[in-house]
Amino acid sequence: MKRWFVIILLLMGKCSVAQDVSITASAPGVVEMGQRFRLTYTVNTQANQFLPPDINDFSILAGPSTSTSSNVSIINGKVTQSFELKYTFIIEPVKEGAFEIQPAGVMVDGEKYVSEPVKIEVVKGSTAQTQGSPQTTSARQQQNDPNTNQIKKSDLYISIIVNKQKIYREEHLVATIKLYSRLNITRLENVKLPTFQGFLTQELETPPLTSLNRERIDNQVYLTGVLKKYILFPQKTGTLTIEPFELDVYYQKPSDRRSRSIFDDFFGSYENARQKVISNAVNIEVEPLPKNKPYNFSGAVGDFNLTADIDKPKVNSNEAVTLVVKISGNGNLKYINPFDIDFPADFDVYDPKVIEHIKHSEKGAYGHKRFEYLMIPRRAGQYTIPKFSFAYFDTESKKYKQNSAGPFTLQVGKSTADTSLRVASAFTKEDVQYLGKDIRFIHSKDTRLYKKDTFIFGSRWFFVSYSGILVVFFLILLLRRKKIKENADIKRLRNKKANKYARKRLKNAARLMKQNQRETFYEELVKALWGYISDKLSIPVAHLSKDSVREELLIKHIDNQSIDKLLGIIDRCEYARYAPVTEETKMDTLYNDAIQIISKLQQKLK
Amino acid sequence: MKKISAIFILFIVTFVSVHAENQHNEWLDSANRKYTNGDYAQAINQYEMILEQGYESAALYYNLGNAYYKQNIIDQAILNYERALLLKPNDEDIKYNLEMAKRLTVDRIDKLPEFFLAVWIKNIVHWFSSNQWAIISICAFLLALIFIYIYLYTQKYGLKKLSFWLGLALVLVTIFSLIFSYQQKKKIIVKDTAIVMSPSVTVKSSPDISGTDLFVIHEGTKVWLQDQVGEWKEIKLSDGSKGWLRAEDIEEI
Repeated sequence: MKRWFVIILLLMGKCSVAQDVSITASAPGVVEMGQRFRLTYTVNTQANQFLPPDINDFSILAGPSTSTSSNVSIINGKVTQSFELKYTFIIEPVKEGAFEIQPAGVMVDGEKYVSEPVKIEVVKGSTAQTQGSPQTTSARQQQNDPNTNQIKKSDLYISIIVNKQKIYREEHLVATIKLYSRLNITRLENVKLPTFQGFLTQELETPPLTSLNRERIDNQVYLTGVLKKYILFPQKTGTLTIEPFELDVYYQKPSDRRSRSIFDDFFGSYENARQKVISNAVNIEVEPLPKNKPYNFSGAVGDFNLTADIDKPKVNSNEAVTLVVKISGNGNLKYINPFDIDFPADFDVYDPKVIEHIKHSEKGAYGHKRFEYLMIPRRAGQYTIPKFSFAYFDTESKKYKQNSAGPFTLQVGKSTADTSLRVASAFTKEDVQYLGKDIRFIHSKDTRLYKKDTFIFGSRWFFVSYSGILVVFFLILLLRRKKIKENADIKRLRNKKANKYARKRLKNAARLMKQNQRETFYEELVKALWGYISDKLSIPVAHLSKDSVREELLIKHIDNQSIDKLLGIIDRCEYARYAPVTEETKMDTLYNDAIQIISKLQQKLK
Repeated sequence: MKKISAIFILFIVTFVSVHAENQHNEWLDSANRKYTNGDYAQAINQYEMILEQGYESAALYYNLGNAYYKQNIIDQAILNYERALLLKPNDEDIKYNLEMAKRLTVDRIDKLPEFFLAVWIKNIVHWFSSNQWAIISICAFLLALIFIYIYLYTQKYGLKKLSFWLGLALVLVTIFSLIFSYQQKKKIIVKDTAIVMSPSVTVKSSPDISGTDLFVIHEGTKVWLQDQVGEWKEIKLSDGSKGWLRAEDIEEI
């Protein structure tokens, strides 16, 4: 069991070695005539065969020599393995110029892997730097620098290199602080960084200064190293100065002292020296941004792209929707503020969540900035988030540019949860007593339906009934008046004829008196009197009574004496009629009295 | 005299009943049955069908409003309650249910205080519908004439005095009920109120989409129409604030 396990482990180890094969070449970029250097090919796996490059322009002093190194590291339980196989040549240039060494190759498991070609420039070396004997070097040094502490300015200096000297405000520039040296530097100390007054600075990552590069300047090979690198964003306009950079450099110089031993002569004698190096100061001309700023410009300078999107175009009310606005590009992204977007008034919108992803490099600050607006529509309906725009100053074209996004339409449906919320709103709005109660039931009794917009008021029927009532009213009035008129006529007639009828009756009575028919005489006389009064007063005989007659006659201004007399005659007549035996009153006196009173009334009652 | 009033009553009765047709009543009955069984969506369909045929009644609007309420379509419920209330201004049930529906709307707008006399008169006007006031005016007119007749021809002093005052009062009743009937009719014909039908409407300061946003009102809110420009309408809320919105967002009562 254990054995199997070990085998599996070994197999696994083998497997992990079989990774991507790479072969890299390394050599100094610039060399001086007569300088020996190494050309190394590094393979990250065990190679079966090495195919050396053709090296024609250089003379091979030694090689290829192989060396291997393998490394297993376990960090926090994570095992990493590395393996290196190096083929090294030691070569020397033979002539000046730029050369290219053709690629070398390795065979790994029957497959061929090829390196990159190597470019090497060969310059005419200064004699001081040639690989001469230390004695000659020191001799030269002595000659050049009588004061041992003084070195040539051109041998060691720092410069601040900026990529632009004339920029707009907020536009970025890259400042590189670089060390140039032809000395044997041991260490650097007391670094005094410039203050970069008026700039916003962002330091860029620089590789640690472990080894210096070779670089050709004025046909001289310098060892150079980038000390620091910054991106600067000027915050002011006008001329801004980058203050000098200061540094103490320790270097080795050949010793002046006479050598005390033979070995010193052979190996050379050196001593440490210190030199303070001050860089140049750089002036930067910062121009203000052009005047014609757009209304929505808020200071963004660079080159940007605006994208925006809603995560879902359809939601129900009270559900969250996110509007993502992304600005990507190169420039002062850090200073871009959230947008003023006109959200529909019925939305609850929270402060946007801002996510920055900004990288700094020599190209400036690039990356993106995301604004996530969380919105919650409270009511159903169709809403529009209007178009919004973003203005920036484009440093390339030196113009203001606009980017815009939108408009977005958002369909908000009614959510089922909406009802519960409504009830809740009812809670807060009014007293609770109505809750739990229902609306009243439908009406089912009064089912009469009407034609729409039919009104009695102003309709034909309305006017007809009104005018009908009026017509009927006046008709009745008219009829009534006519009848009254007719009645009035009858009265007048009766009034006129009253005397006539009375006389007729009296005549008749006189005849009866002569025939001595007493009973009928009295009857006729009473009838004559009553009839006369009835006609004169327009009262039916049936309604007549002594009292009413007296009243009416009084109204008509007949004196009491006449009334008494009249009523007395009537009384006596009636008495005589019903008591025929006791004859007291004479028929002729009664008759005469009746004639008398009638004629008297006739005068007064017109 | 009796004969005339009998003919007159016959007039009104025939006038009213001429339009009530059997078929529509059957529909109404079946819709009511559906409502009772809880099938509100079907009931709404049938009620709406009757309305489409051009028939209406306070009960129809009231029942339709109830069905919408049960379906939780509050804006339609309020609209129909308001329409029912126009036809039957003093119905307790309609008022109660309208109040219930209004409780579920979002906007709560304060009412401007009105002059108490105006409120009284309004209340009196709302006692009856236009048709009821019209009939009242006709009846009052008839009675007034009868009393005038009695006043003219009675011989008795007491009766004469009584009929004079009664006649005068009835003439006044006639005139006022005529005015009220006219007002109630005007309220229905001149559509000067509306209900907001869109869930949420932004009211603008001018009849233009670019106008300044003044305030937001929500479905079910009652507005008073003031003016119209194209498809924009000027509205006034019960608290007196005015603004413009699109005609499509509201429906006239």
